[in-house]
Amino acid sequence: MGLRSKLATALLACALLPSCRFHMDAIRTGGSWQVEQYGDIELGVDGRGEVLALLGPPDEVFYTLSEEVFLYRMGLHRGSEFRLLVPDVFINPGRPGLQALSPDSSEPTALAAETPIVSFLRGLTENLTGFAAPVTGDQALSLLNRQVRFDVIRVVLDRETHVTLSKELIRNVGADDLSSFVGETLLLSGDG
Amino acid sequence: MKLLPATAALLLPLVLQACVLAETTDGTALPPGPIEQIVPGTSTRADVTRLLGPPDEVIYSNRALDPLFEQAYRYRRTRTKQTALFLLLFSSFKSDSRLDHFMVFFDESGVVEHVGTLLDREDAEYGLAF
Repeated sequence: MGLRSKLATALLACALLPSCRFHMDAIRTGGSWQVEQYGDIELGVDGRGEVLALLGPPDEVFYTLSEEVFLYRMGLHRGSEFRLLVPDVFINPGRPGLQALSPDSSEPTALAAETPIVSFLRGLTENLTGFAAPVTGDQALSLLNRQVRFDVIRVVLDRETHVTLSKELIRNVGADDLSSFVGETLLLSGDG
Repeated sequence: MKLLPATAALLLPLVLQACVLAETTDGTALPPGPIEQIVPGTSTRADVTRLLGPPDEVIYSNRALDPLFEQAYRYRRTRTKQTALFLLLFSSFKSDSRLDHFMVFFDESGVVEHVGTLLDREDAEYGLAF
């Protein structure tokens, strides 16, 4: 391989290397209960006090005509991935940012009135740093939160006696499914 | 060999500038002392608010035929520690959220019936994702 070829290969490698990144995530959120503690709940015997002692305060409490429902959730995510960092200057040169990929998002109105020189400098900066930060901090956090999976415990107690009627452990619920899970809880336990 | 420390000194700022430590705390402070003074069967709703202040959330009874009353108070303080390391070919992000969480349930006369306590906030940790 001649010197020119080596140089071209080295330049290509330098150009491509920053576009790949090995990324690792670890996210933890929510309560600190253990599955063993869930197993220790004796239906028909343990009451509200025992449930609170074993699992701690619930994240959600619902009431129906005859039942009191405790919902516990604990979110965990641990993962790794190769990320291909494609600056969107290659995707849509006229509109820096992720707008090209998310048509629902709109640009802040405050920026609409910026002067041409400010607009030019902002676009230049975003395009130059596209490789380093292809998404904004808020967008990155939103993507991360979507990856978190939740373990959920649902304990149903009698509303008058506060004795446990049923319990359920559901693993690996997606963040997007959590709200529908709460709705389902109300429908399942609701009797009025 | 003399070049090694100089190279390391040059590279260190490059690594450090890609490292972020962030801590956020949200909610009502929950000192253990006042919590221990809340005794089921004895303390009242007024005692709870005197000791801990206004709750972060009030959970109401919603039974249609019952008068609406304050069923439970929730106090919650969240501490989140985030560690991010962004290098050219490798990045790591760790987020650890822990809670101090206290719930107190009242009976219909406003006396404390049950309490649930989790004091976990101090366990939040910085670190890498592996």
